[in-house]
Amino acid sequence: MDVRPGRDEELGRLFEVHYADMVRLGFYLTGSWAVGEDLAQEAFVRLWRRWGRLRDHHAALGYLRTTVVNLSRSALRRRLLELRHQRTINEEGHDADPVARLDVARALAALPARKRACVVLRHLVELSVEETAAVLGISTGSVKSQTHKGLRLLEAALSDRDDRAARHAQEVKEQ
Amino acid sequence: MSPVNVEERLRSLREQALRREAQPDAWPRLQRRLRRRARSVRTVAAAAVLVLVLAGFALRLLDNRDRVVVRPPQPVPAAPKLIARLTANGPGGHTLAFSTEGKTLAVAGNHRITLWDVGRQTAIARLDAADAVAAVAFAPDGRTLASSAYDRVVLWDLASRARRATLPMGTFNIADRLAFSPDGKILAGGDGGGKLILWDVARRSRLAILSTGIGSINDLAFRADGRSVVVGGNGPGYSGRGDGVAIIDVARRRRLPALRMPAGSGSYTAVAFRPDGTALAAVGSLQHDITVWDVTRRTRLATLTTPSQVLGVVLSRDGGRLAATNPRGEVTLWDVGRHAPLGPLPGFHPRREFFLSPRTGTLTDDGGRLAISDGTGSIFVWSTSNP
Repeated sequence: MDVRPGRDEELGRLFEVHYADMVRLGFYLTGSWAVGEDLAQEAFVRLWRRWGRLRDHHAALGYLRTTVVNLSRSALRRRLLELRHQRTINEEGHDADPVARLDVARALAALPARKRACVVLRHLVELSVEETAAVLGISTGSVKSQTHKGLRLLEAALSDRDDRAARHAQEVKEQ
Repeated sequence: MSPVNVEERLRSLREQALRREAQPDAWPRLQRRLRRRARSVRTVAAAAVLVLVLAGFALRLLDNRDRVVVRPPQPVPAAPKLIARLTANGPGGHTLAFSTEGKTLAVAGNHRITLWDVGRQTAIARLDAADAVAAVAFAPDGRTLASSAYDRVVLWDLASRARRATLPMGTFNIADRLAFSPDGKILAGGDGGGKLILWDVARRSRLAILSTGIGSINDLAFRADGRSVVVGGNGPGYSGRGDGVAIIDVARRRRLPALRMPAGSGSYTAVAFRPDGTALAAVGSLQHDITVWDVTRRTRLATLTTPSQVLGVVLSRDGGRLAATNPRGEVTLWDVGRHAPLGPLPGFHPRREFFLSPRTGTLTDDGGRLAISDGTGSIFVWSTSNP
């Protein structure tokens, strides 16, 4: 086993084409760019390890996506602990990442794993129902229902937050 | 609650995320990790080689006799070659069957069975089936063809192209899969209720209807001596039910204990008998692999790792070749003995709607040819044998 030039070159090409997308996928799933980078790196390491069994480009993309989704579940648990810690920092105004601060990213990270994966793959990565089903290893029927339920949960979480924010603004004004 | 447009919010999240630049050191970081891993793998490999060399040396000392095992060089099979592309009588999933040597291909669909000369790519006979055909099978002598419709099984005389007999069905359902015994004396059919029916071909009578203990039969194959039949079930487990494989003793009309696969372990089960008389079963799974079982010894022979999920699996009758589809409709052909795929199938365009089953895809007994009906009315035949 060695870093053969052919394999390295091909991996480099795949990296160029897909790496940024994998980081984004990891970010959508966990709400953290740092975790997204880690997940994408790990996915490429695993892709490289099973190189011999995986040749064509298309298969590599599916493999990368599935790996990032699977890894995100354990990464997410770590991320939730981090979030608790970060919240204190955010309140002091040190958050340098405006995208991560978006409520929708937070609400997304709080969804149950499968619903979150379905919403992310369908609406953010913009895969078809069939592609999503293939990545997650579930039926197209449950992709549809999980996506729908995920969106409704997201909607509820966001409107709840909006209400609270509006109430807060109102209170501030009244004071 | 104020109305929230979730799709709108997701879109803006996506737009902002797309604007983010990737970290410049990502690629060097990955390369550093890979090099570290390669180094540690090399260390482990070197240690393993050292242990093996020492063990070999020790064995040599223990056993002085010259026991050099000369392994015949394994021929590397050639990549599949497209040898015929036939146009069937309209679209739809046609049911296929090869004659024993693979020279003739029966294509059944739209109430008609067409026999094709594969080499010349010409239709040599058209049989009017009058109904939808569920399964077809050639007798080993190539003079008789069996076909099943929803309430009957018909034997066709291929010389006169006439119906020779209609076989009695009894309580048997529609035969989803048909196979002749290697001596041509017995015809076996498997149905969606897990029943196996055996007919005496010469007498045109029913020999037995046996319950296989399997929910729904997807595939069946005779052993070379004709004394047993292996039967594979439909989907051990996408439904959660632990279906499996059974071997039927033809003379005693008895079923040997079924091999149950763990629930959720895979899709449709393809079965075969190897030349040495052991039965094989192959199950594709959503976990990106195909498990090959030695049904006779009840052990796992091999796990073929695939880049994607596996939906349908088809085996050649000798168990040497295997074809499988994934959710994208791509077909991979495997050399089972070498655990290796045989390269792409030229000319075939995967369609998501395509699903490989013993109906829509078939291999010759020796696996030397693969035929696929892609659902659009095209039939592809590839040669997969050694040059």
